[in-house]
Parts: sequence; structure tokens; C-alpha cells
Amino acid sequence: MNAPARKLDIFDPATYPTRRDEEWKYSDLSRALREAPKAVGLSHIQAEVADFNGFYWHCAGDGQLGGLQEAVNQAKGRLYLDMGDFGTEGEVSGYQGEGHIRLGAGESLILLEDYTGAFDYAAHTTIHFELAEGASLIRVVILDEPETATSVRRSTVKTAPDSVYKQYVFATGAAFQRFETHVDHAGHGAVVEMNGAYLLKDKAHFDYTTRVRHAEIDGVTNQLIKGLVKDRATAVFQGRILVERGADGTDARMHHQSLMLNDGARVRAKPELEIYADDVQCAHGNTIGAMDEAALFFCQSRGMDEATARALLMQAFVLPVAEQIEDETVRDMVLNWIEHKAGGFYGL
Amino acid sequence: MAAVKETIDTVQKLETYEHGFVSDIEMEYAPKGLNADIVRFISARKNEPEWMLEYRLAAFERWQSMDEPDWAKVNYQKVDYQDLYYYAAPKAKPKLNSLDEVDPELLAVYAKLGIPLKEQEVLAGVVGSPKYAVDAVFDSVSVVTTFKDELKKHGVIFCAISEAIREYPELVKQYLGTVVPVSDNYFAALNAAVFSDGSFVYVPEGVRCPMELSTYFRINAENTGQFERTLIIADKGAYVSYLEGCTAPMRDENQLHAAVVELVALEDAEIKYSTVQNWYPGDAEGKGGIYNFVTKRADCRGARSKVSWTQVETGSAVTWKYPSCILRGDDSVGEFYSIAVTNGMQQADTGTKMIHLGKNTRSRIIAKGISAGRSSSTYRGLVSAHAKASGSRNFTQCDSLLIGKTCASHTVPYVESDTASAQFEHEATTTRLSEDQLFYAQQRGLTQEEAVALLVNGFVRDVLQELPMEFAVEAQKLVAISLEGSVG
Repeated sequence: MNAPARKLDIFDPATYPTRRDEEWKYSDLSRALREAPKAVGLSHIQAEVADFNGFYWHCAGDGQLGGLQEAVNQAKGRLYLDMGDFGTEGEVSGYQGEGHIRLGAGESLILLEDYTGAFDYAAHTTIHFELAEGASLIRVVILDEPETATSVRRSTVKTAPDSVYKQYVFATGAAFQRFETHVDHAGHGAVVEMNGAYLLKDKAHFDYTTRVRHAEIDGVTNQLIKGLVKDRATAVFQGRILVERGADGTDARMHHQSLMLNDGARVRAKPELEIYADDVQCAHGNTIGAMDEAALFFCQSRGMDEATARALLMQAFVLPVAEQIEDETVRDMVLNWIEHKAGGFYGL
Repeated sequence: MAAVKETIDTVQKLETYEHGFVSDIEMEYAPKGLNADIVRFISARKNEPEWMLEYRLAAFERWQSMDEPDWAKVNYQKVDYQDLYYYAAPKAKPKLNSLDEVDPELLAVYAKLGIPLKEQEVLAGVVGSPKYAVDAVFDSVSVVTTFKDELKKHGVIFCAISEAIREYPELVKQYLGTVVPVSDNYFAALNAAVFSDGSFVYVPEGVRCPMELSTYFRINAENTGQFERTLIIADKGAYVSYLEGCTAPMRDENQLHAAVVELVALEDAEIKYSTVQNWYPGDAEGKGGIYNFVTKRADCRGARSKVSWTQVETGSAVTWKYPSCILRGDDSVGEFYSIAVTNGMQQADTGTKMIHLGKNTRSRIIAKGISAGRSSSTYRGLVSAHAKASGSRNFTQCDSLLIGKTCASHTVPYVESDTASAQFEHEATTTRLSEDQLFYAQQRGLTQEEAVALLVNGFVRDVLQELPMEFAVEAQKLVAISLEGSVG
């Protein structure tokens, strides 16, 4: 199983990785979290089951990830996970939890994970996904956490023959935010997509780390990650595609594109390929740069003022990620969310 | 088709490693092992001034406190640093006045390797053929440097570094260790303590070096480590092109080669550094071969300076090196062109670092990796832009070709940007040889092996073009030979 290499217990500072750990080179948790957060007794009451835009609403915030499978069974294919974490002011509350979601043969699920929160908290959550033959999971993750938060969100995915796993992550960062996905591509002809977009400003830190292990033939992986970085924010993308010996016919592509809106922002990218089979097609691309002055000039020459032109170009940069979402309701929700969040970016 | 024909002929002619012979030459060794006394021994043997000995001893002390790094994607049996000879030199004749006094055995070695050590040989060649000066390093010492006088007329200093330490101490003091400091890494510290020989080049202001300079490194003695140290300085507006070639005999034991190469380019200067590395790669089972752990770095100190690294890596059991550029001067340019071919059980972890510090600095990386047999090749590179490096540009392309089911190829790029106006592009692909192209070539009458050689040469063409003419032809043959037996 392609599990996270490092054991992390948010209540034990001895397990915090530092920059010396290659996997955490660009995200220093031990600096972000100097001491263990306070364990919070779960007085939090599970919200009433409700309907949310046609989704089955399930509250799994504050690390309460025990009942996920039950929620999936109830959800009839559309599940909204409310991942709200509430901290306390002036003192860091700690949440940690682990959950499992398994989709049976041919089952499909649209999963919307909404991470929000308030005040000071440190969260470490892990969700394990297992897809049976022909199962399909569309997972849309919105990381809309407060700038005070420290959050490490991990997931592991195991595919089966002809299963489909599509992940879309949208993030605005936090004091420290890391989203990790470890995919065990273990099914013939399984398809995996891991896309993402980030909109980072002020001192936000967002780290998108993906690990894909192709162990079977004819696996497909596609990744498109795009983002805007402003002010003193830091964007990190670490991707690795590992193709095991014998995983012939693998088709893997990884693209990361970052737009830096001012000096002082930081982008760190490490897109890796590790390949032990020869009959494969693997490629990655990575670009980092400023806004295209020629495009800006073109828009202005058509009568747009500079602010509008910039806004248009920024939107045009990140929207393609959201536009790939097949489900219309979810897509619209995400597009609205981006529009709302991107508002803070346009004024320069 | 001429080139193809040539490749085929070479492949047929040469069965295995061409340069694997051992020469029986009377040698002088330092006692085995490494301690402060050995460092003193080496320094004394080279008649070094006191400051150099102190530099070495400080480095040795530093090295003792360091740990051997293990982050590269290579597996090898650790080196026993106490089981090596740190100094091995052909027994010295009283004093050499001319090439005629050099041990004829030694000259025979170079003749066999095809290296022209006699100036007249070069001159007697085809009319109009370019001249190039050679510094020949045999185990721990430089045996001869050609064309020194002619170069001196232009003010160019080209000599063994041990000679430079004695003759030009001010220049050496000013630049040695300023690009790769002693404490840079484990192997650099080791090298600083025990380095034996290598080349020193100084091209004065405004001079365009009139010929190609080259150094030919040969490891011959058993159980020795070779620790070459090369320092090249191009003063304002100067230009120099430098070539480096390496071979070693076939032996069952692994031998260590830990070199440090420092390049300094001042304002408007340009240095072109080409390497054809063909150390003995070990046999098909991975027995023997050279460990090539090298630190190469260029400092583009002045504005508008330019450094271009070109490397063809076909040899060595384990290669671990990253020729890098620190782009400090505004508008400076760094280039890295690389072909890494691994076959048999070879492992290569190589790439470059382009560190953009100055404004409008530009860099370009073209890396081609070819893995066959049970080998593994890794491209590892860093491109970074400092907050002040506004307007910096990088383009990176690394392509890997896999031949066979049992080889491996990895790409590990690091891209770090701290400035909005930097523009970094990176693309990488990994594939195998196209069946269609192979079929087409075979259908035209080429055998499978010839077809592979043809396609591979096409694959690495972008880099071969960057090599000086004479080297390009040799490198092309080398690539074909290295891949021999990798198909079918």
C-alpha cells in the first residue's frame, strides 16, 4: 500500500517533520506548530442529517471521521462532508481523525468535502479510499480554512480494474496547509485524475503533494494544477509518479502552472517521475511566471481598463481546472466559490 | 549515411571497453589510508607552500566531522577510505626538460589512447586542423602539458594546478575554494584535503584563448583514488573552451574518483567546458568500475558572463554529479547540455543547478538520459530565482529513453521562484524507442542494433551539436558503443 511514509501524531511534537525530511522540504510543520495543540474533548454535536443542494449532508469536522462509510451508504451517490473545525481563540485546539470510504463494484459517488473553520486550530485528518472494480469516485475538495489554521489533510486511494478516481482540490491556504494524496494505481486500466487550483494571498501557505504508484498495466494518470500566488504567500507542488516494473502501457501526465502576481511571493515545485518500465508514456511540465504582458496589452487595446483585464486573465488562468468537473451542480458551486475568493486578487 | 556507417564500423570493431588496459609503469605510492600525515605527505611531495598545507589540513579536519551523503538514487558498496592510496605517481625522473625525457612507457599509454602529447604530431596533422593543448594527468600527477609556450605568448596560463600553486600563488589563493568551498559537501572536503593534480587555466582580460584546452585524466594504479582539482578563471572579456576526457583500466574493484572543478567567469567572459566521461563502467554483472563523485560549479561573477557545460557521460559504475552555475552577474547566462548513457549495471544521478541571483539572468538545460540493460539513470536538477533576480529566464527540457524492460529512469527537478518576473519552464518526457521508427529503419536494411544506434544518435543530437567538433564525433561513437548489446 502506498501509505504516507511518515507517521504523524499531531499531539506528539517528536513526530513533526522538519525541512530535513525530503518529503517536507518546502513545508516545515515543526516550525508552523511549535508545540502540541490542546486535545479537545468532543463536546461537538453531530449536526442533524440534512439535505444540501441535493447532497446528503454529513458533518465530519473536528476529526470525527468514524462514520464515513455509513454516510456513503445513506448518500445515494451524492455526499457533502462538512469538515468544519472550530478552534479556540488564543489557544490552539488539536483535531486528529481517520476514516474509510469503500465503493463496491460499479458504484459511483460524487463527494464534496468542504473544509472550513474558525480561530486557532491544528488538524490532521486522513481518509482512506478503496475502489472496487468499475467504481467511480469524483472528489471535490474545497480548502477554505482560516489564515490561523494549521492543517494536514491526507488521503490514500486504492484503485481496482477499470475504476475511476477524479480529484479536484481548490485551496486558499492557511498558516500551514498541506493536502497529500497517495494513490495506489493497482487496477488494470484504472483512470486517475488529480487536479487542483490555488488562490493564495497574504501569508498563506499551501502544499499540494501527490504520490501515484502505477503497479498494473494500462493505468492512466492525469494531473493539472494551476494557481495564483500573491503578497507573501507560498505555493508548493510536489508530485511523484512511480511506474513499477511491468506496469506497461502506463500513460501519466503531470502539469503544474503557477502565476506569480508580485515579488515576495514564493513558488516551490518538485514534479518527479520514477520509472521502471519501458513501454510507457510519461511527461511532466512545470511553468512559473508572471502575467503575460502581451495578453494584458491585447485586452487593454480592446478597450478594457487594466484592472478588468487583469481580473479576466487571472480568472482565465485558474478556471480551466474547475471547468473539468463533469457534475454541473458541483461545477457551478466551485466556479462561484472561485469567483468569490478571487475577488481579493484583482485589486493590485 | 557516413556517420551511420562509421557508427556501425565502430560497434563491430569494438567488443567491450576499449580503454580497459593496464599499463605497467613504475609507480611511487603514499602509504595506504588517510590521516593528517598523508595530507602532509601529499603536500610535501608537491613542494607546496605552507598556506596550501594549512588549507588541506583544515579541509581534512572538516571532512572528518562530516557524514557521507546518501540522498542520491544510487546504491553502491560504501568506500573504505582507509583502504585507498591517496597518492600514486609514475616514478619521477630528475627533471624533465622536454617531452623526450618523459617515460616512453607513459607516452605509449597516451598514444594508445589516441591523445596527442607531442606538439609536432598535432602540427603534422591535416593542414588547417585545429590545434588543442593537452594536460595529461596520470593517477595523481600531471605528466605533461603541451603548447604551454605558445599559450604564454597570449598571456594564457595553462598548467598543472600543483605547478600553479608554486608559480602563481596569488591567483590560486584568490580563487581556490571560492566557488566550491571546503565545507560544501563531503566529497569536496575530501578533495580539498587530498587533491593531487588537475589543470589550472587563467585567461587574462580581453584574450580569446587561441586553441582548445584539454585535460586527459587516466587512472592506472590499483586501489588508488583520483582527486583532481581544476580551476579555470576567465578574466574580463576572455573566452576559453576546455575539454575533459577520462578513462581507466578494467578492474574488479571499484575505484573512487572525487574531483572538484571550479570555474570563475568575470565580466563579459565566457567559458565552455565539455566533458566526455568514459571511466570504466564495470562488467555486465556490475563488478568493478569507477565511482565518479564529482563537484563541478561555475560562478558567473561578472555581468554578461557566460558558462556552458556540456557533458557526455557514458562510463563509471556510479556517477553522481551536478555541474552547476551560480548566475551572480546581471545578464549572465548558464547552459547545461548533457547526455547520460547507462547500460549494464551502471547508475547515474546527474543534472545541474541554475541559481539565478542577478537581474535578467538566463539559463537553459537540455538533458538526455538513455538507460539500457539493468541500469538506472536519474536527472536531478534545481532551478531557483532569488528575490532580486528579476527578469530571469529558464528553460529546461529533460527527455529519457528506456531501452529494455529492466532499466529505470527518473526525473527529479526542483523549481523554486521568489520573484514574479522570473519565467521558468520545465518539461520532461520518458518513453522508449518508437517501434515505428525502428521498423522503418530496419525495413530500409539496417540491423536492429544499427537502427537503435541511428535513433539514439538522433535523440541526443541537440547535445552533440554543442560539443567541439573532434569531441562530437568521438562522443557519437561512444554513445553507440555504450549501448551495444542492449537490444534483443
